[in-house]
Amino acid sequence: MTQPAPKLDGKLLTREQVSSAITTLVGKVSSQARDKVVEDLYDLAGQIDNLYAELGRLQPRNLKEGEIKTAHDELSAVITATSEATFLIISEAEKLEKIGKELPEAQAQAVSSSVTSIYEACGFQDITGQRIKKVVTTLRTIEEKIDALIETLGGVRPGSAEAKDEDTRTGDAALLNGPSLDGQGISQDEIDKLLGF
Amino acid sequence: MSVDKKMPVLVVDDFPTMRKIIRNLLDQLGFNNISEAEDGSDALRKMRDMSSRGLFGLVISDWNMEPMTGLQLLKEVRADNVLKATPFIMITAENKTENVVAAKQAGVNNYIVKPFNAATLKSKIEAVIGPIG
Repeated sequence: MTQPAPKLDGKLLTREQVSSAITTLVGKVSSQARDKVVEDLYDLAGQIDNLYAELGRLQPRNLKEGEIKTAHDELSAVITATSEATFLIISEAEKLEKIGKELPEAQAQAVSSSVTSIYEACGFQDITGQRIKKVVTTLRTIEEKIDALIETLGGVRPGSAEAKDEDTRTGDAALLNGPSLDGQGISQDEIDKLLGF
Repeated sequence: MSVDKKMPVLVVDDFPTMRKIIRNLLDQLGFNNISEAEDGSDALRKMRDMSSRGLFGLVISDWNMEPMTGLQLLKEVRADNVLKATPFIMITAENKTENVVAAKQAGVNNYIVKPFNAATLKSKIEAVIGPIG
């Protein structure tokens, strides 16, 4: 879990202020404890250096402007393309349904049954569309995190990025989660039992 | 006695494809007076416009829509002295227990989870308004 940046009176501390505070603190502890604190601080400094090196390799600005935007656009395009394709499938199925009505009853019934199956299957577009929208929302959140990271690396106040991890929605808004993954949510039978229908 | 298939039915969904699917399935069941709305506010407006001539015999609504969700629509309908008796079926991918409970508390008549099939749609409609025939 990310620790919040050190602050004094609501303002971010500079590197020098943090260093000064640590020096003062170390000066107040016993010699034995001081060695332990110094050792821990060296460890901490090493971890911070590693973190900066990792962040440098991430090149967050490029990631945001390149890959995430592309992924976002690609997923939006998937929604549009599947929507158009599904609409076309349904339109063609409607034509088949009309033709089917002119056939002898047994054949008409068979065509109608198949067309119904096509309509049912086309419901996938609604479900996949909602799932993709969830992914797009996640990508937007990642973009916001990267924005905050860029600001942090640039010495600008990072904002409340940590708070955005939590779902702060309440009331009816908290109920909007879209389709559940397999194993989550409840089935139609369970819903019927729950409602007593 | 079978239901009157000329009764006005309102299909509410922000996905045009899903509206078309439900409309076509209703058409196969014999319903031929079907209207569509793109979200809860659009639906509410159409229901109120319609109320001077009569009520929709059935509303089949998605949940997850903007700006007004299906749940908000349901609450608005149940709070409206004129519209409150309108049969209302929620048809949604929201299948958590808390969703179903919230819909029930708001006065939903039945609840269909997506993806659904024609048989489920028919049986839930019949459970709400009677045998379709």
